[in-house]
Amino acid sequence: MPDEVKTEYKWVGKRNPRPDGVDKVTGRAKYGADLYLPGMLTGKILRSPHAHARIKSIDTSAAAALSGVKAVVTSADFPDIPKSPGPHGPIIFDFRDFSWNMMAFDKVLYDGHAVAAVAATSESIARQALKLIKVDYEVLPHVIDPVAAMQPGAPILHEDQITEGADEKTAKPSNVYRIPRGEKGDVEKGFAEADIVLEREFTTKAVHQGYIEPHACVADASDDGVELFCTTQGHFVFRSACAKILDMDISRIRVTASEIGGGFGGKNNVYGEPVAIRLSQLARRPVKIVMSRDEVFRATGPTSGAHVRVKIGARNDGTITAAEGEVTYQAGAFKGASVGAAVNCMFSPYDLENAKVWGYDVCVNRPKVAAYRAPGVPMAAFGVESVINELADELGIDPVEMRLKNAAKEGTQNIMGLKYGPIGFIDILEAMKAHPHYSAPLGENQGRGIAAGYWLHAGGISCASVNVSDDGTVTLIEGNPDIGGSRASMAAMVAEELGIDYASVRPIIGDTSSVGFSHLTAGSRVTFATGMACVQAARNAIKVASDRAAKIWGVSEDEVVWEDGHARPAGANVGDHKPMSLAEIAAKAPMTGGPIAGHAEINATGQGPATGAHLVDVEVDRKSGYVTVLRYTVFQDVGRAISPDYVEGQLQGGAVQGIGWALNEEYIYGEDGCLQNPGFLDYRVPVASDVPMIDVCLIEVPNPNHPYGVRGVGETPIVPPQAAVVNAVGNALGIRFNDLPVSPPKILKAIKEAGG
Amino acid sequence: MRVLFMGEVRQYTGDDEALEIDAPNVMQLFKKLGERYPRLAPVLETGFAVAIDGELMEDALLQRIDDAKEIVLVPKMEGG
Repeated sequence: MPDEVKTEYKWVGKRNPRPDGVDKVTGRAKYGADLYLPGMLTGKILRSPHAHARIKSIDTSAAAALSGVKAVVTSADFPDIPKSPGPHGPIIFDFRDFSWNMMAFDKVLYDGHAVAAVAATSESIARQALKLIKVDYEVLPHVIDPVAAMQPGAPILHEDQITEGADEKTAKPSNVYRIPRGEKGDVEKGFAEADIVLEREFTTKAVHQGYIEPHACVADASDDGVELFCTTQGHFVFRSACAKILDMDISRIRVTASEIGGGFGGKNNVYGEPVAIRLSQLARRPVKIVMSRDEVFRATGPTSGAHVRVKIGARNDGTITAAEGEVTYQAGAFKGASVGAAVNCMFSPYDLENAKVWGYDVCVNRPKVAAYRAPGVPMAAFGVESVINELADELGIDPVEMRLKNAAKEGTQNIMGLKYGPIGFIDILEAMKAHPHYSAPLGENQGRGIAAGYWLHAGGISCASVNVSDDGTVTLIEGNPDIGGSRASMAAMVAEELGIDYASVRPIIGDTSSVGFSHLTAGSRVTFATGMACVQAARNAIKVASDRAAKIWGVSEDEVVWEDGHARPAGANVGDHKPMSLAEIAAKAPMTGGPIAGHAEINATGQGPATGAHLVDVEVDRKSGYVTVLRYTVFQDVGRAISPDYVEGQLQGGAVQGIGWALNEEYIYGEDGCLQNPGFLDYRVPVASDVPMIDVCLIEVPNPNHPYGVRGVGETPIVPPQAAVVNAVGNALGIRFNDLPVSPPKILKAIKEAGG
Repeated sequence: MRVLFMGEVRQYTGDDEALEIDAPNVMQLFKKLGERYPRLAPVLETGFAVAIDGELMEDALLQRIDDAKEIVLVPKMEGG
């Protein structure tokens, strides 16, 4: 599949318009809540007011008797799925956790945990019905902080959970699900060789992905099966999850992905979708469930809050001799914090001889965490990059030079055992050092910060179909919801392959019955993996078209080549045949053997490392503690930017989300274990007026394993901002911060403690 | 070929840091590793990808590895 990567193309690498652009900016695009069906009911979910409680009984009789209520469900209406970590087709989950998270069985495990649901003829009747449901709770002690949850005597969430990977085997139940580890070389020897060793501890808070569109779905069940329309990062994965949770055949469910108003990992998992299906099955009418913002915050997954300890030793010349990291992450109510990714990635921008990392995946009485761009890595990188900046200061070395001294390069083997192919991290650092931003003067109360980041983007399963119409235009069907402009990138690659106009390719996101399984739009995998499927499908269509031309000309198939959108004789000895365009071949297709099409079903491999570094200037108001971000520049190795506009958008978006994470965002819990700020008024995300234009410097070191050199770009840009911004704030004030967010009250307190 | 055990997989292989083993494809490699390390067997297919001479391959049980020099088991990662 990989070709020699060219440098100039007609459509790839160009700023082509988004096929979905006008609809999205004019309000025509249909999001999860925008579907209305005849006879449709409104579904509403009753949620726990307690952080941890046993459900003694639920009485739904009054709700069911209310006029206009057509169905009521509790956990009794769902199969009791056995604990099931293991393979389930192409996705790997413990579906018992999914089921118990969707609807509490014997215990509620967090404020907002679903306990019952109704479907009614209007929203007001549905709300009245929820009030009529009587739940008798036995309130239990709760635990919110992961370190507290690891202590002896802490309330235990799951009596059947035994820690995996512990040094000492135990049969005792624990809130710690597992302890992943990574090790390379001999860290003790490395620390002994160091001239300086710094060890610091850091904390970060749980933060939300901040997608604007709430979770929403419409389920329509009939005797023949289920139609589900929903906002999702992967409708095939949702189909599998719903089938498993509801004990249905997968093929009986068809899922159509709506347009998606942001996900960032938060829409990888089902919440209300199986509930809507069950309600629809019982009511025999379509049911729509749309979460409120309050529900999104209380009951869907943020990323983990974290405790991170980092120890790094270095020689006087800046060479790192050893690095050690320990991370403790909130998993929420069910196992599965992204600790493994932190272990694998936190030191991976660097070529280290000796490194050791371990982490704790800890259940606490919060909503189950979900992925959030480069899941698990920003928190750990905040610690690593902060310590590297402090080491550079202590050693009197420029922080970029310090990183250049230790930068990963081709052939570097990271802690997870992956040996890098071409990698642009050194190019990134050199570009930063040479950029005017790096040497621009700073004023009073202003500071500059830098940090780097790494992510190994995903590959995986993707399918695509290229169908050529009889006028030569093309419908491209693929199976990944378009979050960041992927339709444009897929269309550009297919147009490039076929040699036709970009506008002649119409990319469609197929439902689960119209194209083969395609994994999530996640892990920065779509342009890489689904892009490879689209390219392969286009090449298969070209083969069909070329063979058809051969038949028309009466020559053998290997005597025809495809160049510049035309079938041409492979050489002068083939005969004098006028080249045929795709449109000309397609026009004769019905009479020469049938339609021209190409399909591909692939498991994409060969993903490459994606590295980046951020440079930021801030100004701190010493009276209010307010931080103004003055200037921000992102440098990232993007392999090949198929659609530079949308690659830049990914990098800018990641930076802005990271700025919010660094300065303002945090889930705040009361002593009762209930979330106190479940809304955008009290949970402060950056808005356009909070940030400057984010400048972007695209470094293109092509990935040799992709036909156009693609690396995933969506995850890496959220890894460096936290450390870069906090580093800048620290440099402005001469104070180091180790606890996120660096919000105005925290800054004022630090200034006061420093005697300012 | 040499199979390296780095990081998370080491909790299943005890003190073993590497193993010389021959297998025609990833499926056969996993079978042999599972026989040698029984606790590793149930998580191999679901939990690990392989880096074959440095190149990452996920869910690639039929990938030929006759000519590989070095295989590293790499934990699978989720993305956002």
